[in-house]
Amino acid sequence: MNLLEIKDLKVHYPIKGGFFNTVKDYVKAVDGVSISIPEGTTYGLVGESGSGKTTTGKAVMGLNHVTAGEIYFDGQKLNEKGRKVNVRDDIQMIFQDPYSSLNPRKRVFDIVAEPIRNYHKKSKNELINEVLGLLNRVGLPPGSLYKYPHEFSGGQRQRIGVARAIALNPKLIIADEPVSALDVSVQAQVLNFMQDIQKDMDLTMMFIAHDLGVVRHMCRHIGIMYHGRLVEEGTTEEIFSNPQHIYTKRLIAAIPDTDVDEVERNLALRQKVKEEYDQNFDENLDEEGRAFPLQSISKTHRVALPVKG
Amino acid sequence: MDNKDNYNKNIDHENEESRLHNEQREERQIQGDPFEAHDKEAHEYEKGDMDMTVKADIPHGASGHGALDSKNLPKSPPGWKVIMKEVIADKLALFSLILFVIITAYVFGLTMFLNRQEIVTVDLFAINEPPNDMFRLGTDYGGRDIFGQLIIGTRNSLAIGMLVTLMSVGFGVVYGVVSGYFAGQIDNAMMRVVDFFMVLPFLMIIIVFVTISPSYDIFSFSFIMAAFLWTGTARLVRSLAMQEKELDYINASKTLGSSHMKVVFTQLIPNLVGIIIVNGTLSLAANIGIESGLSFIGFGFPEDYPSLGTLMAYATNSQTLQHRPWIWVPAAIMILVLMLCVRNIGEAMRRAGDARQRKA
Repeated sequence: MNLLEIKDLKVHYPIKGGFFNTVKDYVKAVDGVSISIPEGTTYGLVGESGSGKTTTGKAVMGLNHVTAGEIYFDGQKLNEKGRKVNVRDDIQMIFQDPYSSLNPRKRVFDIVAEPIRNYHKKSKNELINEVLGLLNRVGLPPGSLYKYPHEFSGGQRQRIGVARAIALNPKLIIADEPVSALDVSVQAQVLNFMQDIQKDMDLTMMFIAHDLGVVRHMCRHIGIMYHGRLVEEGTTEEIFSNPQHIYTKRLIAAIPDTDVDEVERNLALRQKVKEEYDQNFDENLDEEGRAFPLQSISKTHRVALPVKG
Repeated sequence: MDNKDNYNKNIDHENEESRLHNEQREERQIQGDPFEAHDKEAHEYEKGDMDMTVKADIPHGASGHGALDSKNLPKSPPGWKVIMKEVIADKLALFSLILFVIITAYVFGLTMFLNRQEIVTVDLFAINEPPNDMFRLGTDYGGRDIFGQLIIGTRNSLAIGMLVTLMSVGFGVVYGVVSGYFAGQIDNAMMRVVDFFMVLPFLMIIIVFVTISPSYDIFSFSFIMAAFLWTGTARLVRSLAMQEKELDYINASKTLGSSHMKVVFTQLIPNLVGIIIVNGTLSLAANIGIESGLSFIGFGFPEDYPSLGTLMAYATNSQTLQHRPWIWVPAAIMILVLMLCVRNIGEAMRRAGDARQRKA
């Protein structure tokens, strides 16, 4: 059973110009992305800056307008015109920047209690206990309750963000590069405890990142985006052991390896992939510079290879 | 003897407590909490790091992740206490506040006992008298007591200044925030209304209102001033709201299920408090100035209804300006002192509104 299904999602932004300020062209931030995430698993969305990962996530949250396509959550269509399905308490988001995603004028208590106040009527004491429980869960001391966000480090702030996101016991969490603003030692902590929470709460996660190592650690399925389209999609194992698209190959070849004995071999491999990439990359894209439609090469593995013949 | 026993008991008790505390800590480590990275030894130091922040203000025993005892939590200070603390920490602001409160209390208190009719009645036997026993600050060319006029005038000017500021800033903030937050077509339409108000010659309209209106009181006069003075605040707040609403915490609030109203009034406006207070204090000072200016050129309140401006207006007479400083100097000093006080208090309040800038 797929908890989240995105079908042919398109998000286009008009470029206006000219004397009458008419629409000249579109920026195709997301252009025909289909993703389905089974319940209880993590789906990793990888791609370079500007490839439309965050836009896809925000479209699911309803923070972006959607040009075309359908988003289904638990069988309900989310982007229906007019009648809005209210699933905000089931889908939550962890934001990329822990510095701007917490209101600097609010105390931790108010920040974490906000979603609970919106959906449940609770007395002050119940609220305090619930917030304390959440803080405990993400590993923050109870003394942080009445502190302000600027009194915390980046990693601690991201924990507050996570506490806020899990406050309503959501089914789906969209994690928009949750660790890219943190330094590497703190990244591991945050990732580990996110995994723990996911196990505890049986969460489904859409994990947006540009770090392949992180994604490999966290996700069961991976989708790789390039210029608004998916170029390859499959289970983590398939992507890492058998990459088909040249873009994926180059990404995986670029992961640094700590094994000193392998340095020469890795370098040679990297050079080889780079040559192949430089020669063939244009052939792997259509005339507008975007990826081809995905073709299945196994039950779960789909790649955007050029149509043969 | 008894004392010694008690003392020993206390020590025992303390030892017992610390032993318990250590046990609790060990227990927690064994259970392993989500904060601990999976490799326990490698991350020992980070736990110490975390505890540092806790020790700062938590009573002994409440630190650590397991303690969920709400009795041990530090109390969160209410808003007015934060402001008071900030004002007390800033000596200049404290002095200004005390001075301002004394002046306002004195002025508003004394006006209840002063008889305006008596003060503004012309007394031809006491024209232009310098300060003496009977008239503490002397008299003007109509033989009217300057001291009485100063007190009533200060009250009138202050009341008008505060009313105008309250109305214009209050409306301007709400208008600007709504316009900036919703943006697009709503913003476009709302800003054209602002433009319309801004092209109206506001001094002319007030002068016409004053001339044709048979009688007006403090409230209607303030209202007509505020009707033109809210546009500046609205534009300022709109531009800042547009900047602020792009930040992720507004998006976060939306995804957490808060309504637009809630986002605007509980998330957006608290982040604009600094600029609103600065704008408010500046316009309070400016509004006292505008009122005085209008009275000065003769379109504020009539002479038998004194304000600081009417007193200043006597200085247009070169004789008064040169030889009778007791008529206009007190009013000028009063305006200066009031404006400086308001500014200093506003500065402290602005800092209190932003936790990062607090001194206390």
